[in-house]
Amino acid sequence: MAETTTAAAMAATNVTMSYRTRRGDTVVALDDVSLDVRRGEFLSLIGPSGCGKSTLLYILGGLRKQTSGEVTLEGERVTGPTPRKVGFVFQDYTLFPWRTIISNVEVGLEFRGTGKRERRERAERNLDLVGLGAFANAYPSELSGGMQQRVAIARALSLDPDILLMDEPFGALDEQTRTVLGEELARILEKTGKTIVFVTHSLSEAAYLSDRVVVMSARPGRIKEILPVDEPRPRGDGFSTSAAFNDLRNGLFDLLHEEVRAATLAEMNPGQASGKGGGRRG
Amino acid sequence: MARRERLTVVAIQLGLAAVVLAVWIYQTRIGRVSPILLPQPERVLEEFPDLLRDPDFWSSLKVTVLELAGAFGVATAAGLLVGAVVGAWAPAARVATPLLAWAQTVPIILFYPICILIFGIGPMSKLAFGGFYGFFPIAANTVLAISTVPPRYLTAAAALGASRRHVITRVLIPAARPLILAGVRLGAALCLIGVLAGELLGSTEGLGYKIASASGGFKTPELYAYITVALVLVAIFNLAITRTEDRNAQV
Repeated sequence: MAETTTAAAMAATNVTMSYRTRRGDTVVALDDVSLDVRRGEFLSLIGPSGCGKSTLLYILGGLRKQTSGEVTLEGERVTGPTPRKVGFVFQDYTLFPWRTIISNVEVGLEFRGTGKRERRERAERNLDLVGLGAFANAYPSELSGGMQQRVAIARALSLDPDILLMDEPFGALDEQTRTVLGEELARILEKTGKTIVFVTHSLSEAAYLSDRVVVMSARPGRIKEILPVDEPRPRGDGFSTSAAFNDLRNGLFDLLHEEVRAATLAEMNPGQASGKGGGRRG
Repeated sequence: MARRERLTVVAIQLGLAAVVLAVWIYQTRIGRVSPILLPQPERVLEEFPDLLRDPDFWSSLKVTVLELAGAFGVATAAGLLVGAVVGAWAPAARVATPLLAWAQTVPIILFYPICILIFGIGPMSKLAFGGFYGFFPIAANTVLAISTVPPRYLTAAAALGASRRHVITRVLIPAARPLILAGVRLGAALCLIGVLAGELLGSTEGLGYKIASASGGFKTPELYAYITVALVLVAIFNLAITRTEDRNAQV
């Protein structure tokens, strides 16, 4: 896991995403973003709200179409979702409430046409992996938010994709649960050896989990800087209290602070919303 | 609900029924209420042996049940079809939703005379009218159910590799089902009202016709006996619909 090869599992080249608002303004969400995702690495995307980090993730996954530029998956052009190779974990709770937990984990295999027996076996294995084997026959509404997101991770893993795209999977949870789940996620990933692209707004989460952290600028979203985290895996409890961790977190904070300030001021002066850094004047 | 609590609720409900019956018996016994308006309960009870032997009663019941089944079938089929087609297409849903909501506040009974003109005085007009009555809540709920399925379920399904057919059968339908079933239940109740009201207002057979003619002939005990039969029919029909709903909810 610590050894990441330089071969790109996935790459975005000159990706731009713009859309028209209802008032007819053109908003540039992503501006000429190029990014390589290396095989086996844990890559985090952080940036101010509305910087397009989730949009970039959706484009990487083929769930949204970029205005221009190209996304490739192992050298092949991405034109739509590729469930065989890319799994998704969403920020919202997207488990199907009318299905039991086990049948939610199975659903992707069902779509693929896998036989009933194998489906059940693989679902059980992945549910055990996230520590929720005992809840196989419960319904999503009977589980806490954190548990539901673990099920969503099991659902994504059940298709055995090489790459997992995660959009603030713990965003709606409280700080304590988020920390525990982050550690849990790290533990699971050690076992599976997946490539992960992880959108978050928690600096600690990014610093603790990542091999590299991509810092994005305020709208229009661009890559401001990519910070490597040179800490071997598995990372123990010690890492999150170490000086190196603190320096990294502070570094990320400084990088982000400027951008968040620009984004917030732009929000307060809507006329400048789509101009870069225009809010400074306010 | 705990067993004990449920028992208490049932006991109170039975108690209320007993109070109504007691007032009925008392008021008719002391002769304060004319027996033409309200006969003694035992007089109504005495009607039943005759009624059950009367082939006319059975044919009336059969007519009403068939009209009801037909009306419910038509309302459900048309409501689901129209609802699904309109609900799946967002611009159509935006146009239809307020219209369907408005249609539910219109006293549809006003159109019954037209229904008779088209379908005649026989069972067809009751079937059509009951179906027309029940159609609106079913269509309205189906449109609403399908057009408001949370998009996040569809995104998740796409990411998991769902085909178009899978999206419909494994996501849209189960997500929309609770609301659709609520509409079907409401529609069933309105079919019943439509059929019985149609029979009361103008017909030559059926329970409603029997009620109307017993009332016209001042045969009050028979009138009440027929009303009782209609109420039992309503209870059975509602129970059947509710049962289906419960069973589906557990799948």
